[in-house]
Amino acid sequence: MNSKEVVLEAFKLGVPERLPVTPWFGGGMWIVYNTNDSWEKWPESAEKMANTYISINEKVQSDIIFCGSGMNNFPVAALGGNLKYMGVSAPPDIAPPFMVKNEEDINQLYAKLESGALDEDRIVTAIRDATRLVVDRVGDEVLVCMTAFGPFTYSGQFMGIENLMMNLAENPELVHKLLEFSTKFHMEYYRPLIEDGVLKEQMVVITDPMAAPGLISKLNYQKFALPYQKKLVDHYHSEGSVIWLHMCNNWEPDNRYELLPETGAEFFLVDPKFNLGLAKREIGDKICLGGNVDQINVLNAGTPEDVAKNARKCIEQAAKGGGYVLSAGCDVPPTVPFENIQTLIKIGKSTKYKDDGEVILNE
Amino acid sequence: MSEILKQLSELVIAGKRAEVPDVVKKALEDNIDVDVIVKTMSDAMQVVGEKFNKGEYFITEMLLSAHAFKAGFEVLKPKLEEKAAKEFGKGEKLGRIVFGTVQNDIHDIGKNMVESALTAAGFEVYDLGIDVPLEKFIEEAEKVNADIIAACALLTTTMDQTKNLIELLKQKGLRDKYKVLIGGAPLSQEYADRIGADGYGEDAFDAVIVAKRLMGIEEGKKN
Ligand code: B12
Repeated sequence: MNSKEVVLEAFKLGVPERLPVTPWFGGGMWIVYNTNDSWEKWPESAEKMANTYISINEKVQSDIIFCGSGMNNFPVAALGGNLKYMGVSAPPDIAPPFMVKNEEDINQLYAKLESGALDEDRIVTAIRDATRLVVDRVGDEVLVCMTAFGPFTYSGQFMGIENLMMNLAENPELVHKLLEFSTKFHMEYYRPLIEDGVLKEQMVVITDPMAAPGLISKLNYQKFALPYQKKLVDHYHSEGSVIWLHMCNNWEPDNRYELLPETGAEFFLVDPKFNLGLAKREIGDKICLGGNVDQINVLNAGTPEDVAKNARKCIEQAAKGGGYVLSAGCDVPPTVPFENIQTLIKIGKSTKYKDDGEVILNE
Repeated sequence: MSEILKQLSELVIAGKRAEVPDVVKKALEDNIDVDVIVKTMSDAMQVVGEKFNKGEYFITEMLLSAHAFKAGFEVLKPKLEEKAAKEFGKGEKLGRIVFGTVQNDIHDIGKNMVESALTAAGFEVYDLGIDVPLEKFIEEAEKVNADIIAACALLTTTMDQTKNLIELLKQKGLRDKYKVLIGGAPLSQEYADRIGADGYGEDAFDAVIVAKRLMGIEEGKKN
């Protein structure tokens, strides 16, 4: 089984030959920092981006390549959002946000979208084309995806996060209208790739950090985030893509985790704050899980031995029976040492499965 | 507690920001002391904080309550200033705090909550917003004659700015002039001790306790 096959088998909740592994979810910041590039210059050309994704992966040996990581705000900028560059300490963000206040503002966003603002944008085009090139060149071997925020988080970028949060209570109708727009916006971002079948049997990433526990209640997640995430999942499924879903934080309080399989996504990335063993017991038979190696205290600040220890703990908690991808629990900081990444990959690739799903832990 | 104060407290806890100003006005008409009204609203915010820490409240509820508090406070401001001018001739604030999220960091949900809590507790907060260069913290502190410089950082890649802030204050010979208070998810008391910050706050209510301590104020009484 090659990289792509082991991941897809795990996504089907099956038992692959060996443990699938990726050091990160995203990795955009790490790549830009470790190639001495800058966010301003990095999207110069699709060719350059694609070459970098591929050559970095030859070094890193991840089972998945995440195209467009760290660039989730560029499509927002294409609609007129103000991009703010912050060196290599963080990917470009939208600041100040759009501050959608009423339906009229949402209609204006629709007008921009329909006028082809995304297709005309140089950087959006570069990200899409880089994804095409990577799929073209290594897409049979490695699982390839293009990343984007989920509808709730994009709505925060359009309305201002605090306004979005307060409008959940004060103006829910407007929020639903904006969420409809953000869902459409997501589909438009992917549209050319979907139309050309580029992401068939490849992956779509939905990361919705603003919809995480601690930020909104379980009820609000059910009302305002889940239905739109599900809409996206259904849409991409009908086009033959698999879905990687991520939201940070701990999903244990209120048994909120029970909602995750309802999204329909194949995969959910478990944050280090969420108990992986519990997640496996409660929902591991319904959705493939991944994570939850600590990207800050272990991958970034720890030694290779610490990484090995953390990875083995995750394997013990979740690998048995398949349906698990060894990975960092959230996007990794740019300063993670290469040896730590190598250690994680080595452990993943050397962990084999018996036919009955038992893990053969190599020491 | 009088009926009207009870109602005010409930409205702040429920985050009904549109209704709070009228109730505050009514309380004033009933000749309830301004300090008592402020205290009622502050206590209500304390309840909100506890609900947040227990996981009963989320950002939505917390923000609505903070705005409800602010709306009520706006009504009281002229009265408070009047009173302060009479009693102290200067202003009755517990202290002046210059507050911002460090450069390259745009996380501000937590910062804004801490600011609301500090304002509710009686501090005068100067908000510098997000992505604030170190020089700007110091410039503003000098300008408003601040007591505390508070810095928020949410990223491992930006947390060291808090350390740099302290270094820069030293370089400028201003280290002893200001107390430095830091907070944000990746920071800790241990980190604060290591870089020589004067205080670290785990959450909004902890921040109030620590800020008071930095001003030499013990819980419950002033100076
Ligand atoms: C919301 C959020 C965002 C929003 C921010 C919106 C906004 N206006 O704030 C968006 C989506 C824009 C965002 C972007 C990014 N984020 Co972010 N984000 C979060 C998230 C989900 C919640 C943060 C939050 O608001 N928490 C709620 C508040 C109430 O808590 P708090 O901030 O900790 O504040 C409390 C205390 O810390 C304390 N406090 C806070 N400040 C201060 C200050 C003082 C003086 C004191 C005393 C106390 C104090 O009191 C507060 C109240 O209790 C966290 C994950 C998490 N759960 O923490 C990630 C997280 C902080 N983000 C992270 C990352 C990596 C990013 C990005 C780099 C992602 C990316 N790859 O694009 C960008 C960077 C943007 C930038 N340049 O800053 C990482 C940081 C990892 C790390 N430690 O380095 C986190 C931890 C997610 C993760 N698990 O990896 N993010």
